[in-house]
Formats: sequence, C-alpha cells, structure tokens
Amino acid sequence: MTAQAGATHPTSHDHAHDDADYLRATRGFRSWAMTLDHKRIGIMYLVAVLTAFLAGGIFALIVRTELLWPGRTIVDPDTYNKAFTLHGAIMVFLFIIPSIPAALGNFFLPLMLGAKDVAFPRLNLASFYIYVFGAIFALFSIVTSAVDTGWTFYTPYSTQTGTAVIAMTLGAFILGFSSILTGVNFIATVHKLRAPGLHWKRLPLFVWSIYATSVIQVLATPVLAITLLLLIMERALTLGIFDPRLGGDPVLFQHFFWFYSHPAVYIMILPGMAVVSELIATFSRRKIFGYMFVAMSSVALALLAFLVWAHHMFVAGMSEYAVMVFSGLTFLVAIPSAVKVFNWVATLYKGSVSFESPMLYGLAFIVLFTVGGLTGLPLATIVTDVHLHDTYYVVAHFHYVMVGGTVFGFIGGLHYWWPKMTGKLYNERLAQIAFALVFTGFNVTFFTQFLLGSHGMPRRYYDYLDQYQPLHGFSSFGSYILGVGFVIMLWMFVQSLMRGAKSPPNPWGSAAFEWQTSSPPIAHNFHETPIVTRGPYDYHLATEEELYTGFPEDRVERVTAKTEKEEG
Amino acid sequence: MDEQEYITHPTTQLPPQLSTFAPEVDWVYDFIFWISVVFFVGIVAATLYFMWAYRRRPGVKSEPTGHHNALELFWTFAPLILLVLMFHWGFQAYMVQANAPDDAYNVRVRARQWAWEFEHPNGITEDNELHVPAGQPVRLIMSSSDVLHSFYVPDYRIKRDAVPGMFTSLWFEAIERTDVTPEGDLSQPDARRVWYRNQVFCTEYCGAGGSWGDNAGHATMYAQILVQRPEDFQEFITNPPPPMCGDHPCTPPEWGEQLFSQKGCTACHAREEGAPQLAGPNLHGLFGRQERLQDGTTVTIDDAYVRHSILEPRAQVVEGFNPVMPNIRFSEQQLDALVTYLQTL
Ligand code: HEM
Ligand SMILES: [Cu+2]
Repeated sequence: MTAQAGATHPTSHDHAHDDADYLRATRGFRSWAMTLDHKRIGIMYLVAVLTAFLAGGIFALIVRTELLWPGRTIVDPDTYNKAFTLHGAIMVFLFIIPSIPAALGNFFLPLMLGAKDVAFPRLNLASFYIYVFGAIFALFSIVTSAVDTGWTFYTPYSTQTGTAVIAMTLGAFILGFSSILTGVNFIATVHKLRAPGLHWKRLPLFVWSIYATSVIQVLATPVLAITLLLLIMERALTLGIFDPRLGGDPVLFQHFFWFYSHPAVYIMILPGMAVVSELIATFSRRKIFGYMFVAMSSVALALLAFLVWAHHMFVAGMSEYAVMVFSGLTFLVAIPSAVKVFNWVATLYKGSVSFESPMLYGLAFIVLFTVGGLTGLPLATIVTDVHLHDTYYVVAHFHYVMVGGTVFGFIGGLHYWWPKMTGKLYNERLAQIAFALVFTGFNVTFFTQFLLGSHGMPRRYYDYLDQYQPLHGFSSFGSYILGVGFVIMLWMFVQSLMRGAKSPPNPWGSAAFEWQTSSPPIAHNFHETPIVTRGPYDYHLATEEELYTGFPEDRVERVTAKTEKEEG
Repeated sequence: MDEQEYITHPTTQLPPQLSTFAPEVDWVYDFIFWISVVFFVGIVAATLYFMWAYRRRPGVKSEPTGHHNALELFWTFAPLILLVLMFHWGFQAYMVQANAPDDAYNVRVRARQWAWEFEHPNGITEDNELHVPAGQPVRLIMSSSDVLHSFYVPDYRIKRDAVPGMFTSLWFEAIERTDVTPEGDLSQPDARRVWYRNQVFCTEYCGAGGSWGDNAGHATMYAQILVQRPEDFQEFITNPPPPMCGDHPCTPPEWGEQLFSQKGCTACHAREEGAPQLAGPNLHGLFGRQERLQDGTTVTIDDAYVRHSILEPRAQVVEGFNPVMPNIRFSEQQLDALVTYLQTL
C-alpha cells in the first residue's frame, strides 16, 4: 500500500503488519465492555443507535398504519398517542442526536486528526454507559405505562397525564449527560490532539462540523437538563412553576424547552452536513469549493441556533414584537445553510464524479435538504406559519431535514466508512436497490404530508376527516416502501459481515486522512504519529497511483463478483 | 383591497379563502413558493448537469478547486434581499391579524378537554358551534380550563393557542360568498339559516380519554363556525331557535342526551350496563344508587346530589375516582333537561 496522500509517515512501512487490527487486538466480552478504544466505543454506539432506529421505525409504522383509514384501524387512541410519542422521543433522544457524533464521530474524529484516541478515553466509555443507562430508563417508561405527551412534553398536559412522564424525562435527562460528555471530549480532542502540521485550515470539514456540534451540545444541553428537572419536580412535588392552577406559567416551559431543542436541531443536522462534505469531496475527487466558507457556516449555524428558539411559539400567545424579532432572526439561519448547498453543488463542477452508493446518499442529501430548507421559509414567515404551524406541513418539513438530511447523511456515511470499520466490502448492487427504495419511499411518505398540512390537517391526530384519506393512504403506502428499503439495507450489511470480501485500505481512492491506515485500523490507529503536509482534499497533489483508479461500472461488477465468489 | 378576489374552492395547496385575511396570506405563501421553486430547480438542474458533465472518465483528473470570493459573497448576500421581503410581508400581514378592529363582535371561547364552548355578549352559549355574521369582524377572547389547546380554522388562515391561566385573542371576518346562495326565503330573516360552515380544529395536542366517542380526544376536538347573513344572525342572537333533535324541537330528555355528548360528558362516563371503566363512574341506573364518597360517607344519589356534582364536580367525589371532572357551564334550562335525561338511564 503506497497511498500516502495527505499524511507522510516519518519511517517506512516495514512493520505494517506487526499489530493486529482493533477488532482482533484483544478478545472476549470484557475486552469490549471495558475497552478504552474510541473505535470500539464507536461500534458499540453504532449498534445501540441502530437498535433505537429499529424501535423508532416500528412505532412509526404503527402510527402510519393507524392512519391508513379514518376511525380506528389497528390501535386505540391512547395507544396511538403513546406510539407517536415514543416514535418521536426515541428517534430524537436515542437515535438522531447520538447517531453521527457518537457512532461515526467517535470512530473517525481521532483518525482524521492523526491521533491515537480521544482526549479522555475513560470519559468516552463512561458516556456510552450513561447513554445505555438513560436508554434503560426510557425503556422502563415503555413497559410501565409509556408516555402520551408527545416528545415535547408540553405543560400542563405533561404534569397532569397519568403516564410515566417522570421515567421518560429522567431518561432524557441522563442521555443529556452522555451528550455533554461526548461534546467536551471532542472539543478537547480537536484542540489538543491534532497531528503535527494539521492546522485549523487543514481540518477535514467533518471535524469542523462535529466541533461546532460539540459546542452546541455543551452549551445547550444543560438547559434541557434543568427544564426536565423542573418538570419532574413539578410533577412530584406540585411546585407551581408551570401549572397555572398553582400560579405557574405553561408558556415558560416552552421557552425553556425550545431554548435547548432548537439548538438540538442543529445537533442533528450539522453532523449530517459533516458527512456529506466528506462524501462529496471523495466521490468528486475535489476539495469542497469555498472550504473556509463551509467551515465558517457551521460555526455560524452553531451560534445562530441559540437565537431563534421562539419561532416554535408564534401562536403560543407571545407579544407581536417578540414574534417579529424571532421571525427576523430565523431568516438569518437560511444564509449559512444555503451557502453550504451552493458550495457542495459547485464542488461537482470540474470534478471527477462517481456514483457509488455513499455518493447517492450524498447527492440525495443535497436535494432533500434543499426541500427541507426551502419549506422552512413559510414557517419562518409569521403569517404563513400561523396557518401551517402544528399541521402535517411541519411534520413533512422536519422529516425532510431530519430524515432526508441527517439520516441520509448518516446512512451515506455508514456505507462510505463501512469498509474501514469492518474491513469488509458489501454488495454494491443491493446497496443501490435499497437506496432506490429508501429514496422513493421517503418522498412518497413525506412529500404527501406537505399537501396534507397546507390543506389544514393537524398533526398528532388519531382520527381525521374523510377528505384527508387519499393523502394519508398514499403517505402510509410510502412508509412501507421505505421500510422495505431499510430491511434490504440491513440484510446487505449483515451479509457483508458474514461473507463480504476483504476490503483494501482505500477502496474509494480517497485522499482523506482516515483512509491512510489499514482497513480495519490497527488498535492504535497509526504506527507512527503522522506528519501532515497538506489538506485532506488536495487531490491535485496526489499522484495517480496514490488514488484508487476504477470506474463506477466496473467497480459495481468487481464488488459483486467478489461477494458472489465468497458466497458460492 | 376593495376589489378583493377570493378563491372559494380549494387549490392544490391551500384551502378556500373564506376570511378577509386569506388572500393576503396566500399571496405571501405563493411568493415564497415560487421563489423556492426557482431555487430548487436551479440547484437540482445544476447538480444533475454537473453529475453528467463531470462523471468520472478514464484518464481525466478533477481540477483543483480554486476560490472565488466574489461568487461566495454574491450567493451569501443576494438571497438576503429575498429573505428581507418575505420577512417584511409576513410581518405586515401579521400585524393586521394581531389587531382587531374596535367595532368587532366579541365572543368568549373556553376550550377544555375536549370541547369548545362559545359565549355571546348577551349570554347565549353554544357548544362546538359558533354562529357568526358574514362580513363583520368577530373577535374571540380565548381561555382554557385545563391544558393547552389551539384554535385553528384553515379556511380563515387563523390559529392561536388557548392557554390556561391567561387570555389570548384572535379575530377574523368571514366573507360574503357570492358562489353559494343561502337557501330559503331570503326576504325573511331566519335564525336557522346557515350560509356556509367552516371547520375548527384543535392543533395543540391535548391528550385523549379512555374511550373514543364524540369529542373524546385531541383528534376529534372539532367545532364548526356557522356563517349567517347579518340579518339571519341578528335573528339568531335575539331569538335563538329551540334546540332541534332531528326535525322536531327536542323534548327535555332528548335535549339532555344531546347536551350529554355536546358538552363532552361521554369522554369519561359510560351509560350502558357493564361498559368498560372510564375516568368517571358509569351512569347506568344512577338515581337511587348508594355510593361511597372519598371522605368515607355514603350518599343515596338523588336530584340534589346530581346537580351539586355537576355544578361543583370536585366537592363530593366517589371513592376510587380522581377529582378530574371539569366545571362545565349550564343554564338552568339545560341543567333541568340534563337531569331529566340522567333519570332515564
Ligand atoms: C423512517 C420512517 C418514518 C416515518 C414513516 C415517520 C412517520 C412519522 C409520523 C406519522 C409522525 C406523526 C406525526 C404527528 O403525529 O403529528 C412522526 C412524528 C415524528 N417523527 Fe417520524 N417518521 C419516520 C422517521 C423519523 C426519524 C428518522 C425521525 C428522527 C430523526 C423522526 C422524528 C419524528 C419526530 C420528532 C416526530 C414528532 C413526534 C411528535 O409529534 O410528538 N421520524 N413521524
Ligand atoms: Cu385541544
């Protein structure tokens, strides 16, 4: 292996095979459960968040199936309310917030920095166990009596309902700590553990974005913690903070809640953008256009995220002037988001673009995130938001951002880095079939919901007027296509683990740093501390043989042929 | 805005425009929509073109990325102009919605799980129905007696939360529709004649009861606005017609039964023998029953106990139940009708 793009090692590679890779370095349950290796912790997070995604997905299908027809279809109203609450809460707190930073970030951040590990490996393991502990609380709430408040836990309903609000909010509270600790750890890692020569202007965009995410996690999550604690105290001790019958203010809860949860939206989307920047660069063999603008727009989003929370509350009874200020600030968020999209598209220009499955997710991200972003404009505009607020339009909008954006980014990243993480190739043809189903199913499901919403269909409804049936039916149909796509993808990854061909160190011919070590990486990442001599996307400085020089068509065939050979 | 054009049928994207606000809101919506279409098509077309034109080819390397600060600054700041326009028009139209005209007709709205109650200035109350005159501003002053609710009329493009412990307000003016003609003899005011109806939804999640009947949860917390010609409305408000059950005026027990579901009692009280337990006691065979109360005393249920339990629901709670029944307002006649009905169970 001669690929050295971006990083040179001071000594030669004589002992390239001295060390076992991180999967085989030590064996046994204890060696995983007690591991301090960021890569193993990343893999454990990956398994955990994928499990959460599966659970959240099952609840989504219950919700969609109930909505196939008006009236009762499969569950009663109470169960329905619990299903959409659990769907939302699991997807937000257990899946999407930790997905990219904790799973992919943990694995790749140190590799991209040329570091041996994160700054505080023990803290890293602790935050994983805190995550598991929080998840157990949330699960406990499901087996006791679940929660029927919606994932937003709005007071005073949440102080009055008879369901397990305390267990669920304690779960979210504990998960918050995990999030804060991961953030602190990443910030310290980026500041302290960059390899020699890796100055800020050479950082991969993934690192910039995860860094910005970490800042939000550290600053915003404590507010959620306090809010949830107040809610728990209110329920347990009837203090009268939020409950109007005791002199409290129910709208205050919304301010507290969104002061965290709006920035949390950026905890969700910035990592998706992080992955996509990597995908676009690798598969068009070109440095991201306007690198510094893209990096700085992540930081700008992180800061602006704190100024717009009350756009969730335009009709909640705030003063007209508060509404005006928050609407104005909200528009500012559109700017850095648009800048990113323009720069990604411009990167393709004069690139050498190939269309393997990770790139398909990257390109789909651009399209879907654009829809998500543009449909945010009528929500930022006060008078149109009044009509659309709390209707299915909002449901469609945030699914375009969170699923079309973050989940597509996450899955694209998973495909992209899978060979690095597992050392195995997967069946590219199956991956593309799954992609086609996921992309189609997603759009059928959620585009329909824009129309439902603009026609006035409110969200969180068990039942609806007959006039909305065709669109609801269509949307549910799409969710089944989506579900089939995910099942095929799961099957493809399992197949790859069991009998996938061995991956070369750099199957995509990427110039990014993390591909400069073996696949899977050795336990200590690099044999010697790499010395970085150029940026991660400097394809023009890489010699031809340093990069993988294949073509998409022949690659599809080679990968498939190999997989089949292994099977047969 | 004298020559206002209304679109009275639903379009692909938006419901019919049945309030004076609607055309302006829709205009802003359309502006944003078309700008978005232009950007979306531009971005997708550029992406597809570059995907095709710069697909990987043997021996062709990517070109190094230069930078182009002028271009960056252009696409950072040019969209800002459009955003400022959206913000400005959105805010301007909102200020109209935020300030009701001084001569508006005031209606009080009380939201509760899971019904809307409306009270006219002269004291007439309506449940889940609100009669209003066309072509005149109506202001709603809203409160909630339990959790958050939100009053939403898609055809009017209005929405506002009803918040317990505070008053919020909202106004609208239903249009005079040229595309539908009220039925009947138009020279005579008729309190019963409705010109057209508009659906009211609750859009702030407010939970669900154990059962599923009329008005038993967030998803069926519906009301209707019944728009009348001003003269018909005048007749309605001065001479409200007696409640109708089918095609005849209700007898007291029939009226009581109607009130029982209109006022949302069905959410918590079953009426059939052996029906599953809801949040409140089953009312089958109510009168004459012996009931143990929470304070340990026993009562025999009679007229006085029933009236007291309706007017002050949390005073004498039956053992085994939580004091969750809301205060529901009834006129004397309504209460009489309800009690007569309950005696028949
Ligand atoms: C994968 C297929 C998915 C389907 C079919 C789906 C469908 C739905 C539906 C029907 C609702 C109910 C809307 C309402 O009641 O107003 C909903 C709510 C929600 N979904 Fe999804 N969803 C999916 C994936 C996701 C993912 C991946 C996330 C997170 C990243 C997510 C986050 C949410 C949230 C936060 C809510 C709001 C819950 C609430 O109203 O309390 N969904 N989804
Ligand atoms: Cu409600």
